[in-house]
This record gives sequence, structure tokens and C-alpha cells, in this order.
Amino acid sequence: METAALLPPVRWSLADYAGHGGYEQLHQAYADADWLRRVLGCTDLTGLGGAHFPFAKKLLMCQQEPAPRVVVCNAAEDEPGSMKDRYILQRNPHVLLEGVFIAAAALETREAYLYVSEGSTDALESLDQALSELTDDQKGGVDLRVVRAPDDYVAGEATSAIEFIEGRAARPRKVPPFPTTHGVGGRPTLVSNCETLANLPRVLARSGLDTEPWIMTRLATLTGDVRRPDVYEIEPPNTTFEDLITMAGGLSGGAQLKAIQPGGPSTAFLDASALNVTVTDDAIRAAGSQPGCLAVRIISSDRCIVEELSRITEFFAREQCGQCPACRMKTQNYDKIVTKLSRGGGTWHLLDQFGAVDEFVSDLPAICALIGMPTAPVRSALSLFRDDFERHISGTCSSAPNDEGEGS
Amino acid sequence: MYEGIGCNERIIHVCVNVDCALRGSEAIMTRLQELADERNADIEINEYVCFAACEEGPNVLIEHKRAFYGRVTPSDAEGVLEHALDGPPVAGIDRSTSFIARKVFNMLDAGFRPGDLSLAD
Repeated sequence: METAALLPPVRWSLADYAGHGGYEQLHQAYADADWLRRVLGCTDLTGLGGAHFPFAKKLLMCQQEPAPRVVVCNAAEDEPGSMKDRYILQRNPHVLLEGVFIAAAALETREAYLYVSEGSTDALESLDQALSELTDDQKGGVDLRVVRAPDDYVAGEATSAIEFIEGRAARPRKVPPFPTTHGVGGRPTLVSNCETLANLPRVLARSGLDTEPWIMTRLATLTGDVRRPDVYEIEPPNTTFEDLITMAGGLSGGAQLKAIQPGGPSTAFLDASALNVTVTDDAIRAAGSQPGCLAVRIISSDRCIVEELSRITEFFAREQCGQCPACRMKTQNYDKIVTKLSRGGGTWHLLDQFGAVDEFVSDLPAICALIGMPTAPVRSALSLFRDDFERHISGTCSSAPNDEGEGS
Repeated sequence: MYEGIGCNERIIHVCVNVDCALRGSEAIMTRLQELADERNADIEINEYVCFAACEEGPNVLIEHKRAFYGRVTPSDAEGVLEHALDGPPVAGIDRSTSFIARKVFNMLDAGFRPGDLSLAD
């Protein structure tokens, strides 16, 4: 069961979930509040939306604030190449719901929100169906409200979720105060990613079974040049990037591996030597990148890294929300530089401008993390794949600009 | 096209990003270009993306003069062009001593050429 702890091959109804021990941990949690507090207080679970903030610490920060408190499940998943949260909602909605109820119990609250991308219609349907299967009694009196999040990248930021739930535009707001002290309606709020919360039932289930080491499975979304792009549930310490590619049917097109971007568009590229790196957070960091939300992009030797980069800088330039001038300046200048290069108008001097832009914004304020996001892919591309830039500058790159736009 | 351009070239950069555009920067560009054409002036009017001074826009940079103007209106265009062609600075809208302007000039001194980013042929 552990290898499909989060994602069963077909959707689990309430009966299916209950048949696999579902909601047993919630009953334990209701029966023994001290045990619940103790177990969640020492879990090494981190935020799987990508920031990897320790869950136990965030929960404690919230618990230390006076009631009433709030739980927000963040399933606004607009990271390009990430599908894991909507897969959980589609196939195993009750594991997430049990996780949300457990978090609510740990915070002694009955106010919870499920903040889900409005474009994830299958996930929303599955969630509505799951909620309709539960009686008020089974919900433990928790008032669980589904909030449909706009399909914008910044809408998935924790403070954007709070802004939107409070009735304003889903844009990041300044911290501190952090949501754990001033969240929804000024109440202390735990905003946690969907996959993080879906792990709570098994975190509780494994407590007291510390005789054997436990491998927590993780969801990795594979996209790019593989035959079967999909979400895969893996045991990170027992899985290398090569294994991941094999699971996904191998590289498409018969080309060689060129690069791996392991954690989403804001993470550094790794070169083909990363094939035998295990997909653990520590190993990915040691290799020079970040695990993020494990939105793993596989890039074959058929592709030009400048074109990959162009997709990334265009995304951040478009998705920056316009609140912070420095972020607009940096993301748009980065994108102009890459676009110019991609269209064959670049020079080596132009590439030095990234540094000038970084220097310019270095002492200017910005509310959220987006301003830093294009940096790692740009820097790693420049250091690992200098030949691709050379080919663009000398006009010998065969990947002609595709003005019709590419759908991947 | 802009390769090898140095600070001796005469360029006026007008920010046309959404904030500045909403404050009317397109009209400023048009007016500057009209005036430059009328006078047959050897000067480039360039669209630029962002100086990170959105709240003070529309923003205009005269690269070769190290001059930065904020809250520019089309009626200021004549004075700005005059300045770019070696006339006096335009009082009232001159923000060349501001924090952000000093940063922009530092960036130019470090070799940044806003015109290099232009996609116009």
C-alpha cells in the first residue's frame, strides 16, 4: 500500500478509502489531542508546494497564537509542469480531506478552506463528490468551504490565497505579519499545500511504528521529452532521475538526455550527469538545484536551452503581478534579453546585462519570491550550456523561432 | 542594429510598460517622434520595458545626457527633445538626482544599453 499511499490507480470513493484504513487516524486525533500535538510537532514533513518550510514549525507558530484559527489547503497549482495536487484531488480526495480535518483538529478550529485552481475542473468535481459523501458528523463540525482560485501563478502564493478568501484580488501581500499570526480575517492561519496536508494521515499512522525506517513517497510530475509525461508516485531514496525517465517510458524521439530541471521553472538546470542523482531533496540540492514541487522537466539533446529559457523568462515576465516595480523591471528585462537572443539578435555583451539588472534590483523592495525566480535557470543555463548561446549569437542554431507558439 | 552603440549616440528611452502606458507614455513617444521628424533631428526614440519607477511614470531616460524624467506629459516632449539636442534640462519633471535615477545611471556606467534590448529592426 505504501507505494500508492497518495495516488491509487483509480479514484477512491469514501468506501474505498475507508476500506484502506481511511479516517482511522482522524478518530485517533479526536480521541487524543496530546498525541496529535506531539506527533505533528516532531514530523520532518516540509512544504511540498515547493518552499519546503518545516510543517511542524509552521503548525506550532499557528498553535502559539490565540484561537480562533483557520486552515487553508492550497491547491492552486499553476506552476507550469506540476499536476500532483490535482491528481490527489482527482484520485484520492479523502486522503486530502482527512489531512485537512487533522490540521483543523490540531488547531482546534472548525474553519477551513480548500483553495483550488478554478481551471482544475476534474479536481473540483471529485472534491465536491467527496464532500457530499461525508455527513456533518463525519466532518467533525468543520465548516469546509471550497474557494475557486484564479488560474494565475501568483494566486498560488500563500498570502494571495488569504487576500482572495477575504474578497480581494489574489495577489501577494507584504509579510510580516505572516499568515500564521495574521491570516484570514486577521486570524492565525495555517496555509499548507495540498500534498503536504494529504501526508498527515500517514504521518500519524506511522507514529509509534518507529522500529523500521519509513520512506515517505512523493509525487513527481514528469514533463518534457519523455514518452509518458504524467504524475508518478515514487520512493525518493530508491529512485534516480534515470529511474524516473524509465518510468515515463524513456526519452522521446531517440535523442540523448541534455538537461533536467528538477523542481519547476524557477529551479536550476542540471546536466546529463544528474541521471544517477537520487530524487531526494538533499541529493538534488547537493547536485546544484532545488527540489521545489518536483515538477521535473526532461530536456533532450534535440532542444536548444535558449528556447527552454525563453519559455521560462516569458512565463515570469507575464505572471509578475505588477505590484513591485523591481520585479517588473527584472523579469521583463530578463525576458527581453532572452527574446533578443532567441531571435538571433544577441551578443556576448548582451548576456552581461543579466548581471547589471540583478545589481539594479538588489536593494529594491519586493513583496514575494517571484523576483528571484528566473535567476537560477538563467545562471545555470549560461554556465552549463554555453555552446547553445554561442550558436544563437553566431546564428547557427537550428531551432528557429516558432512564432506559432509551442503547446508544451 | 544597435551593436557597437556607445553613449555618444543620441537616444531617448520611453518606458511603455503597462503602468507608464496607462499614464500616457504612448502619446509621449508619438509626440517625441513627430518633433524629431519635424526637425530632422539625428536622434533615436526607443521603447523601453521598465525602470522600476512605475509610481512616478511615465518615465523617460535621455541616455547620452544621463537625464531621467518622471511624470512626463506630451506637452513636455518639446523640452525633453531640446535637452537631448544639447538644450537645458526641463525643470519640474527632472528626477535625475533621485535614488532610482542614480541606479539607472550606475547601470548605464556598468555597460547596460537599454537599446540593446530593442526588438525593432
